[in-house]
Amino acid sequence: MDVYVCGVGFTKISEHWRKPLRVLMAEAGLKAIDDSGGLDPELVIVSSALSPLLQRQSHLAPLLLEEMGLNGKPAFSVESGGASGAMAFHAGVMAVAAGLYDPVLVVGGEKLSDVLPMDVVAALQNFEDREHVSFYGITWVSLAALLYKSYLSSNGVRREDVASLAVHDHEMAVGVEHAQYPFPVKLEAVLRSTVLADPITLLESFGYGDGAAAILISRRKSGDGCVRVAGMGVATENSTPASKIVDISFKSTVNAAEKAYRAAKIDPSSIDVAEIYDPYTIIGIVSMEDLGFAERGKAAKLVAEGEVKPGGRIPINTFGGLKARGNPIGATGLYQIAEIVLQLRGEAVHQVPSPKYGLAHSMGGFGGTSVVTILEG
Amino acid sequence: MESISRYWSERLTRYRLLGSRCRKCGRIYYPPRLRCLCGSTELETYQLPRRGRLIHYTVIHDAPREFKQFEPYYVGLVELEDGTRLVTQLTDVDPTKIREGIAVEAVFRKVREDGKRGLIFYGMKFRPVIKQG
Repeated sequence: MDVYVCGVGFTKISEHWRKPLRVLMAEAGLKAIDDSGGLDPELVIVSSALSPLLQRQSHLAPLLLEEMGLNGKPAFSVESGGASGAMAFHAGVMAVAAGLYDPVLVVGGEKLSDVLPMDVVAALQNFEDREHVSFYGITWVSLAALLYKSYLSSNGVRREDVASLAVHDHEMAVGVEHAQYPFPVKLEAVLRSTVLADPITLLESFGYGDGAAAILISRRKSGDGCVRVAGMGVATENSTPASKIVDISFKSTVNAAEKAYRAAKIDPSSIDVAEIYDPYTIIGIVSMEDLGFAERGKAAKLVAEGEVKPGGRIPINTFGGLKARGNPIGATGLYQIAEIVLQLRGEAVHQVPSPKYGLAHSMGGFGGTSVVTILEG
Repeated sequence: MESISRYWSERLTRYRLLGSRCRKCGRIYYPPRLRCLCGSTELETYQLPRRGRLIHYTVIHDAPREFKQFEPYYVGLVELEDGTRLVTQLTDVDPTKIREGIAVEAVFRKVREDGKRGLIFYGMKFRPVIKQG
């Protein structure tokens, strides 16, 4: 049974000092309903990975529905770390495909500006095993830094080529209204910025911001703006980080991608545009290889040579990626899917010429979960 | 205040580097697991070796609140003598001498304190092996 995305909505990613989390999320949800031509959701699925920690607010769903004036409808939350938004979308597609609910609204949001940066680090750290990883003060960025060193040492890759993904993301965010950092940065500035965990610098990392995004899913095409869900894949992987660093691969992404390609009956060469999960440049680079967009050890060069721009071999992160569009954790996967929808509709700022297939890739923690979504325009 | 029982339940794994080994296929797990990837539930307690070598390391300059006072601190990917790999905090590091490939050994250390009145948490860190003489 075909399932379509019929509406998308999102807020600008910024520091929204004047708005609480549920208001941001309600704004995105109402925009998605508007975008669909006013479809009335039968079910709402909510995604916020950190609200129990940062806002001390669990059980967000009924609060959000009240804010949106949808009181009484069924609603629940989905949490899978940084893959929460994509996983909530996956749950929505399952609900529609099963014939249980139609249409379904998926709303994701996160508000990092409510706490100090060191408390955001602490919250993100808990996407890994609390008892044996974060217990020792081992952070997400430090795991990415070890992966970075592993990648550089085994492939003889130039560090500058990996860092050039940040330059690409910023270039793509220019002119994008919802992007957190819509300005260009130079490679020298990326390399020279403050070190968070050697070799990862501040400008190779996502910044903390607030945002919400929403998607409306239905079996019925409500207008020309609908795009088909061609395939999805979800996979998990062992929680110990060491094997991923040594293998320079996230098996969850490899497995999720394989399932998604099989479901869509295509291979990576058919993808015209992709949103890659890149909280740190190195995770984006390794993910490109895990998704089959580059041979092992070759993704960084592909980025540095500009083959990831619209018109290139595999255009990625055409709205700025996690680095420049932003990464409001529980909303990120839905921003990615919404941006693929805009590309397939032909409404992107940096438009890829007549794309047919678009792919969105999300990850929870250091590869513990991966979600790959393929849409067809 | 953080939970005493939660901390206590993990003490053997943390204090003594105890993992588990599958009696059927020999796979080793650290931390220990109830069921092996091969499907077997016959796992026995396994003592990890305390020595190994440092494969990669990095320095954390952007710590969470609980570890802010320790910035900058080292973490590394260590391969133990039996091939088990783990990401661990490094201690007693001389910044001028640390490099990939050096021998490291497990050492029992304080990890952090839960405020003035809470628990003092301990666990295993790894330090460079100092050559005698």
